[in-house]
Amino acid sequence: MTNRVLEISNLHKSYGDHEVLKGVSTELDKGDVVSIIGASGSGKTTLLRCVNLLEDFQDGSINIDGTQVGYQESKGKRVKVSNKQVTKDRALTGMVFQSFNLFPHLSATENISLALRKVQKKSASDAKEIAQHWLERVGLPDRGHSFPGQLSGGQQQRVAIARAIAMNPKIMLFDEVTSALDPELINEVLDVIKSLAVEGMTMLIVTHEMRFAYEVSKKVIFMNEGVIAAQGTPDEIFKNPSNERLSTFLKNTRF
Amino acid sequence: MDYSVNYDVIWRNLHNLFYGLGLGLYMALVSVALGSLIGLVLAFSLVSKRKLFRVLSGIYVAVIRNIPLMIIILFIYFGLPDVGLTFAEQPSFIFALTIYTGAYIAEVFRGGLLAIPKGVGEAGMAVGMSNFQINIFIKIPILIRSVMPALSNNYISLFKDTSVAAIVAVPELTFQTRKINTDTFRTIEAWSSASVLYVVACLLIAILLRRVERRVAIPK
Repeated sequence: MTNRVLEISNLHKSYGDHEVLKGVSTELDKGDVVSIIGASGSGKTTLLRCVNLLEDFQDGSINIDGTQVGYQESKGKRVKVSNKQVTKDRALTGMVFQSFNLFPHLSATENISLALRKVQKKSASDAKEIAQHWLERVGLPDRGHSFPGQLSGGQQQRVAIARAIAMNPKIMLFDEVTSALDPELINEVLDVIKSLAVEGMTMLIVTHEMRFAYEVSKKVIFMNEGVIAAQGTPDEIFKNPSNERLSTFLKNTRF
Repeated sequence: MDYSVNYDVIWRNLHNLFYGLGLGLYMALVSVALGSLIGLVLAFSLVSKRKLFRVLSGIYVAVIRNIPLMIIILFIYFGLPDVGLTFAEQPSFIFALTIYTGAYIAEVFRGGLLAIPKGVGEAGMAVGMSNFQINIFIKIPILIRSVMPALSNNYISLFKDTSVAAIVAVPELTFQTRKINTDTFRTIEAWSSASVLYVVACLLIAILLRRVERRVAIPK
């Protein structure tokens, strides 16, 4: 129990009348790498955004490292925590987005060091050192002065990974991080994520890269129409799909 | 048609014209600076989630942009003293110009804010920054850079608008020119000289601001 990093129970999320998540539960222990696959609109990205509190959710709970995030019980009612607390809870997770979302006006180093300085209140020199460490770690030791517009998509995404992980989150969330990349740039990003997995980073990964999910994951979750339709080891999911929906989905995707 | 052109009187009064020119540039600069602050606050209000903010800022922009500048100037200079608010000519004019340009700059900033991809703000949230920090360290710096060309245009047009200050006896270039005209009856010389000064000044400002724009542009 002390190893539990993420626990999602019975998560429900709607946009108006449209229910996107219909009771999702799963958990990750320290060092687990879990991939979420599924068709567009199945709720994968929404699930990830709920964990990061970028989306509200109507029912269920999310615990990160023993802390219930986003909501709390008060007099038997479920109430949203303050904005300040949301900001704090959010810092427990690191998020990497499909479209990189680097700060365009800041260099690679500053992209990483900004939150270290402003959120974690580190000194400029400490923040810079940490930024340089992570730039080296993602294979960009000499691109610290480059601005996002001067980097390739793959390089931008690696800076984005460095920016998120430099904050020392309990869990890293990856949202289709290679979907916006040219094919020849995908592997450099996946290799970085794989190396983080080897080092024991806890990660929840939404991806369309089936081979990558197969290779890197301890567990694979297949989502369909807002529920977890199947989950298991990569072999169970990819080699012996028990679920008909999953079989159809896998037939129509590139492995 | 025996008017003989003679610019002697202009040369003798050149220092007055330059003083007027400088005063116009100064008043436009102060107004743009203060107007930018107003514009920034208004722009964030215009895109705010709170309806009250949106409505109030919307009313400000709609009202001010649809009143001629001359009316705002006359209202503030001649109207406000009736309710006990008396300003000297120059502060009164700068006040009017600031209120006026704030409404235009608000629209410029609003467009700039809407052009910032949503994901950039979310990335700030994801690394644990508060909304305030995201605005200060991410959105506003991006905003300022992206609206620089529009702000430059605004400054130039505002500088030309300072000629209206002559109506409340602020001694800027148009006022000085009119004085030369009435003192010497060298009408063509006076107004042609003022025109040249306005054109040259505007072109120089444009070149200068273009360089500033390039300096602050986000590297690509």
